[in-house]
Amino acid sequence: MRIRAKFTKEGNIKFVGHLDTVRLFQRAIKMAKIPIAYSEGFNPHSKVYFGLPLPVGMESEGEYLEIKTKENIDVSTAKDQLNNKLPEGIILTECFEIEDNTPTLMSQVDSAIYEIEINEDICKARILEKLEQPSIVVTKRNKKKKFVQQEIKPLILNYDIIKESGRTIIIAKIKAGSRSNLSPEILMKAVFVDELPNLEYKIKRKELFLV
Amino acid sequence: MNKIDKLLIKVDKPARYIGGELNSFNKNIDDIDIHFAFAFPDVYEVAMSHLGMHILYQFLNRREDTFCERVFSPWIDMEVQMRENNVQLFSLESQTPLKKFDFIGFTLQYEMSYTNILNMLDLANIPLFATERTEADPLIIAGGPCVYNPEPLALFIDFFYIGEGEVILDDILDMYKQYKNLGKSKNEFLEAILKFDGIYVPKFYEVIYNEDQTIKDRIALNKSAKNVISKLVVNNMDEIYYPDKQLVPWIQAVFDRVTLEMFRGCLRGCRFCQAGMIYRPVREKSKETLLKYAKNLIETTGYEEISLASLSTSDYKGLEEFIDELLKICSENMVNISLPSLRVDKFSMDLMQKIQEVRKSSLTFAPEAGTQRLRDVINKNITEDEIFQGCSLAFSGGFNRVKLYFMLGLPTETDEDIYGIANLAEEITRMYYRTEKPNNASLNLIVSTACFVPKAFTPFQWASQDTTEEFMRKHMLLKNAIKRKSIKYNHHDAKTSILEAVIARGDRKIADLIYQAFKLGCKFDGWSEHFKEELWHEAAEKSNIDFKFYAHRKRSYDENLPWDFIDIGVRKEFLIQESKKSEEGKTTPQCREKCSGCGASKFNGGVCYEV
Repeated sequence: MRIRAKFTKEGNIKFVGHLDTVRLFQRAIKMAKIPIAYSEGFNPHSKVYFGLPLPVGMESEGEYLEIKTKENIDVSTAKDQLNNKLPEGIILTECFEIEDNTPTLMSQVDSAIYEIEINEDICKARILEKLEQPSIVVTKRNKKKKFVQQEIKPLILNYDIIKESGRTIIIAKIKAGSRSNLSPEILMKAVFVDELPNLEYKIKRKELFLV
Repeated sequence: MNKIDKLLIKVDKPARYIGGELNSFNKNIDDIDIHFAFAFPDVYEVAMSHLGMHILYQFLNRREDTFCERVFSPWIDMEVQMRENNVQLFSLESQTPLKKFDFIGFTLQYEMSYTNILNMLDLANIPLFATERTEADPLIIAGGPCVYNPEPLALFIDFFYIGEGEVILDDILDMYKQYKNLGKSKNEFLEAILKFDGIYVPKFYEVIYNEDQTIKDRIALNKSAKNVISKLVVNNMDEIYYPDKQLVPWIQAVFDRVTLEMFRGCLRGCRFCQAGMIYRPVREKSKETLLKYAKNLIETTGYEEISLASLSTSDYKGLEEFIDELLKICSENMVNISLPSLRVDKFSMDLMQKIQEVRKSSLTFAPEAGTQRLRDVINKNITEDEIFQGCSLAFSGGFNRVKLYFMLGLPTETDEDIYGIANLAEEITRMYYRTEKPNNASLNLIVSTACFVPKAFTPFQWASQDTTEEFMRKHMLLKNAIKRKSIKYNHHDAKTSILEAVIARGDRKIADLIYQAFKLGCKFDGWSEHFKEELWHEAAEKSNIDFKFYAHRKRSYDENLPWDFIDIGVRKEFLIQESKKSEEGKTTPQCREKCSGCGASKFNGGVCYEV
């Protein structure tokens, strides 16, 4: 049986990296006595999969994971059992069964909404000016550590800017996943360029959209 | 964003500093009487691998009146951030500055962590020297294996706890609570605990030296201060507290699994080994106790591996039967068993086959010396035949990776013994290619040598250690003697081993050496990439410490040694007798074969009273 769950990762636990989060879920599932399926072979590992890795230090209200069980179970009981064993800051908010022939979670990730909270009063127009250019090209390192130019304008789907008691909040829906992905850090670099290291800000993933 | 969060986003592996792990505690500080910080002077991944920490953390937190938190050495990058931003060292659970605690309890696992202790106190803004601290500062205490020679840290520590924590830690805390509630001073408390065995309060003693810098006398400055401090030993291993929960680290620790302590002590009596003497007598837990805890721990941690901890797992009585039952529990729960410290014999091979450790296909064993003569000198009761037999079994079982551990610089060692290491490695290689085995993989043989460090409370405590030059000559000798390209040779750095010897057999004067080294910026000395030899030599000059006197000098049996005032059960006469036997190359049988009358029977328990 394939089960998907949506969860939050908030508070100090944001400092626990992706791989360590995977391991903590594997252990919690074991403790919750959920009949998880294991891979074959010499080093069997439990079948737990994640949508899109969350960078160290980033909070989220909309993460997804998927597990495969050996037998059919009641999803809402499983959700409660797992929530009992998960550490503070991680809560499963939804839990549902999916069809056996559904594509993998990772391949379905399409876009995400981020909330970037800057601890400073920044002129709205300045940010908009940057974002509304017909073309936004950034220089970034690719996987081979080479610097490459990338056009990110088509990866930015939607945005909004809110000012709130001395703080500036950018809400942006951008492409995410294995097909085309924009990291919110790159977006910030494109907007603020050299000024970025002087800014104090935090990023939260608000929602992840699947196709 | 709070102040600490701002640092955490800038450092590597910030999860080292956040606390809140599975099975950790959080208590309201207003509701407790005793706030205790368990301090491990090394980085998170090392600290979280330490069984003693896991036991004591749960042991102390089982008390409602006590909140035990953890604090470890911040890694270099975090320390930079803390100092730049004026953040004092804080506890993991509640982020409380260390200065506000009642106790900071350091565990002393290895000498090379001592500068980290001073660095942690400094980061916490607590005066380093006990005499400079006031009523507002916490009590700084220490335990662990290195307290069997507490003197190098005597000036920094308020009291040492010598022996096993479960014995009287509760009594100490009860008394502290009572004294605190009565508004008594720290000094009054320290005087009051002098009545306990195992408690050493260094400020109540003065050491007088001879002209040649050896110790003339120790004088008690308080009428209640005991002349001899007896170590504390748990008698019934089935009745003492053992946690049914274990902290599960956020990030992968060096040893990241359930640890099940099978017994304390070791039967074997290798003459270089401090653990083999200070933890006597051997005291086992029963099979039933172990199975009960195994079940609990697997259930409360979700771990996928369980490790059986002891100094020599093969020596557990009824090991096979125990493993059979443990295997049932483990396979039901998809848990692997890991068995460190096995002897290399047929029995162990069968056992490893059974628990399917074989797939790891790497075998490690420690003959320690290259010739039978030298193995007899050190009382490593393993013969060449046994080594070959063990290897042969391993090879036919499909192992193709072997690691051999040796020590260089053991007492009476000659070049012959060093060639012996090369010969042994060569013989094992030839045997591999002679053996019929399941596959045709080539052999991967690693020879690894450590430098012998004489330790307190061993039959070699009087021995001189080789000089750096001598160690380096021996490294080259062995390197050139190993002709085959397929045998890989690596060795420990001689320089750290010499410093380790200086501190391990140091007296109170070594405190200044450690202090000066800390002042010069030494930290994480056990990490080769952070060890700065030049700074230690500078510190030696400043503190007027001659490494030769501590490391390379052969002591006479009648010299007053800095740690002689501690009674570990094993008598000095026994150590002298063992030292003399080693010179004659005579071995001593292990405890179950024949009692050698070492003195550990005075504790009225364990292997000494087995029928």
